[in-house]
Amino acid sequence: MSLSETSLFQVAKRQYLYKFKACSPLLFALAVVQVLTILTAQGGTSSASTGGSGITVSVYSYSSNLVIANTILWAFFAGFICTTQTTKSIDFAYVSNRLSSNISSIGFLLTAGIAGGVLATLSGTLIRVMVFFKLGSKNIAPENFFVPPQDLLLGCLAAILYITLSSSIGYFVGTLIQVSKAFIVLLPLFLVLAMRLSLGTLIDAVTKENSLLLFAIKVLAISVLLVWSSALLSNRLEVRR
Amino acid sequence: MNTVLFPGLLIVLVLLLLAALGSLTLKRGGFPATNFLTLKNLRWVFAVYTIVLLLSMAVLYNLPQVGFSGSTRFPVASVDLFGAARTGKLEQTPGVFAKGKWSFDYGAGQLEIAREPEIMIWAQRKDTEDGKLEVGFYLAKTSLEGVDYTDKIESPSVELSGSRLTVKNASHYQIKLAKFTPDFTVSQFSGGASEQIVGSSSLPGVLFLRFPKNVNIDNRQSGILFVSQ
Repeated sequence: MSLSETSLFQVAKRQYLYKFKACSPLLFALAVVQVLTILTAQGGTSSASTGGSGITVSVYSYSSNLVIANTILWAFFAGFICTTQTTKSIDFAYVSNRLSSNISSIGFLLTAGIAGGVLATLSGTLIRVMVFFKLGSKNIAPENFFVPPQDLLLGCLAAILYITLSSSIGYFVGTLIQVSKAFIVLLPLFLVLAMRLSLGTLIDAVTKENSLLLFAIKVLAISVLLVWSSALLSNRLEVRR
Repeated sequence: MNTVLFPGLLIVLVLLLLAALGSLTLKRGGFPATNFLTLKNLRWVFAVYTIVLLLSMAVLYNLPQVGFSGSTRFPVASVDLFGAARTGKLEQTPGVFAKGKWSFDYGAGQLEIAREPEIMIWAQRKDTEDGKLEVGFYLAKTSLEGVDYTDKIESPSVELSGSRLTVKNASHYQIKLAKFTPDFTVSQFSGGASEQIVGSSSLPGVLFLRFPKNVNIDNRQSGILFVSQ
């Protein structure tokens, strides 16, 4: 019996802060992934040329889609790494239980989602500024160059949701593998099978949703389901292996 | 670069990087610590990157909004340049203008035309024997990806030497244009697919030759089209 009573929230908060410090290399990895993508995409993601009468026009297309896509990949790894034994051992720095551990992990994943989403969207502004100084305004089509602030906000919100969903999937996959290493083989098989059945419809329901509100509801519902399932599964694990 | 290959390679590269970082983290029971890769330094790198992004946002919103290429959009392919050439009514067609004009004194007889393969010439026999070869290079507004590059198109060089009219392409000019497409996280909620800017990619100009009634041009030459009388 402990002399001082601590609430679940306080324990989860302490674990979250400790986890945030310990997992800060993941934020470094996020910066590396994004900088690499920005630098390698400097030539434009696609180009088209046309010629005639002594003139060749080459059009290079730019967006931050690749940065966002790679940040989504990063989020999956971040979610996965949160479930590994190394990261889980952080939880035992404090007197805690599985619930507080899961709450602190969810807090960390949400933080990672917000950081990843905001930075991935802002990378679009960095790409624009770099292209502006590289090519000059006379070689830039003005359409979509200046992003309206409301589009920037919309992009941030949607990217945060996508990244949160990806990290939840990574967290769930990681938890499954912690439960049994057999899932390393079973999961790809299950994925192939699910793709043949109805996973494509589920993916379309998310990626082709035109209403931000409905998109948010769907993403949050799937994420909560995944994290809740992960929490239930991890409760079946021993206290410390 | 190939639009499919490049993103694919990049994603593979990032996957490899993440796998390497992940395996190092897991194997060593934490992130590999070297003189540089201390937690403090890693956090500094992240903080500097965040500041750079915030600064870039501030810079972007303070860039001058003038001087961009093709700021004025106009309907493309609204002028049937080739239709106008075929009927010999280039001068009368609204939206068509002469970028270059040449006039040469020429008597009667055979005229030989030497041209570069990519130059198409429309030729029209005049009703009179005025002893003048009139050549014009006509353009309509020309755009690609919404950018007007009409001013960048140069006239070919036209020279008459004896009975030989030589037409050469202008020096090659290359324009590099950057266009931005909305991120999928925005286009998904703002009307579906990202905006595709339409443009014209056809040959932008027509070289038109008017020759006196008493001049003959070999009509079997390729690349020379005769305006029907």
